[in-house]
Amino acid sequence: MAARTVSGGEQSWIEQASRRFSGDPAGLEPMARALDGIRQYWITVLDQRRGEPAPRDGDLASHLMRARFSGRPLTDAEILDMLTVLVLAGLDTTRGQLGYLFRHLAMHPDDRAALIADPQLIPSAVEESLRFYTIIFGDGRKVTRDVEFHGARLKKGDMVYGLVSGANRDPRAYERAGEFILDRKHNHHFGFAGGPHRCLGAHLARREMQIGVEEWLRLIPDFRVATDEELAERGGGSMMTLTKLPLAWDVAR
Amino acid sequence: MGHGRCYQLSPGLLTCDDEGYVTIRDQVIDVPDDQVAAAEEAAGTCPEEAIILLRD
Repeated sequence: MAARTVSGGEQSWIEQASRRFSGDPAGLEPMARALDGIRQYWITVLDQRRGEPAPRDGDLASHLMRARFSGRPLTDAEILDMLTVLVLAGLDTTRGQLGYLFRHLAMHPDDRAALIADPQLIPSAVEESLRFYTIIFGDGRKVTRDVEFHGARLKKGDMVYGLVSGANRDPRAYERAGEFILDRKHNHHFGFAGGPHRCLGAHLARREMQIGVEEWLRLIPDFRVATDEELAERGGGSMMTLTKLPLAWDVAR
Repeated sequence: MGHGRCYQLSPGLLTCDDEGYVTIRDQVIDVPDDQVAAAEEAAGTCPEEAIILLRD
């Protein structure tokens, strides 16, 4: 499965850093060390680029070092925060989402057959997996002024939690909300959230996932989950993912 | 908000700028008959519900 090759194993930064999302207290120390490792990596990247006459082509760190915000450059701390978030937000998530989509395809031969017959449906399948198997439950927001919201009286400073995974299953917003519909129309899901803080990596994530499914199905049209044991998930913190997805397929000779 | 769903689903009707935001904003445009289905899809897919279809 793609997840193994990306992470390189249990000791990689991504595995250790991602354990924070499980809400498991034992994961905190390795997580802190991993985050420090990631930060050190980016500090080196910034040092290498400091003083260069022009931004390196297509190099985000170079461009961030030259960016201006409200009339001033970004501080190193701000740049490091952004680059660290990029790592945390952009790697475990796409493989997590693909995990749920591939599990679904492994267990639903009709949906698999439909995608093989018409690969133009793949983007739609990716969208439906973002809706139906929402991996980021939601996030907190601070209320900026006293307001009544759908009958609830909120005060400035209150923290609220926007449960996007719940919104994605709202039967008032989706027909047959509890069903995975491969070619669902009007799929205005919040899998990447919404508003000004909607996922910055959504476009890249969509392309990665679409290409991942296309390439896989081209080579391995038939596959199944390779275990009878119940699959384990980690989550509860902020992000859900399967911990392993063993798949099996027959090779033609 | 730059989700990009609208112009992706109705490329014959909507375009985007270099930063991925839809170029037509706060305007009313006519939808040719052959773009009506695409327009409906675009409107129904925007997570911000930012597209309103007016029928006459």
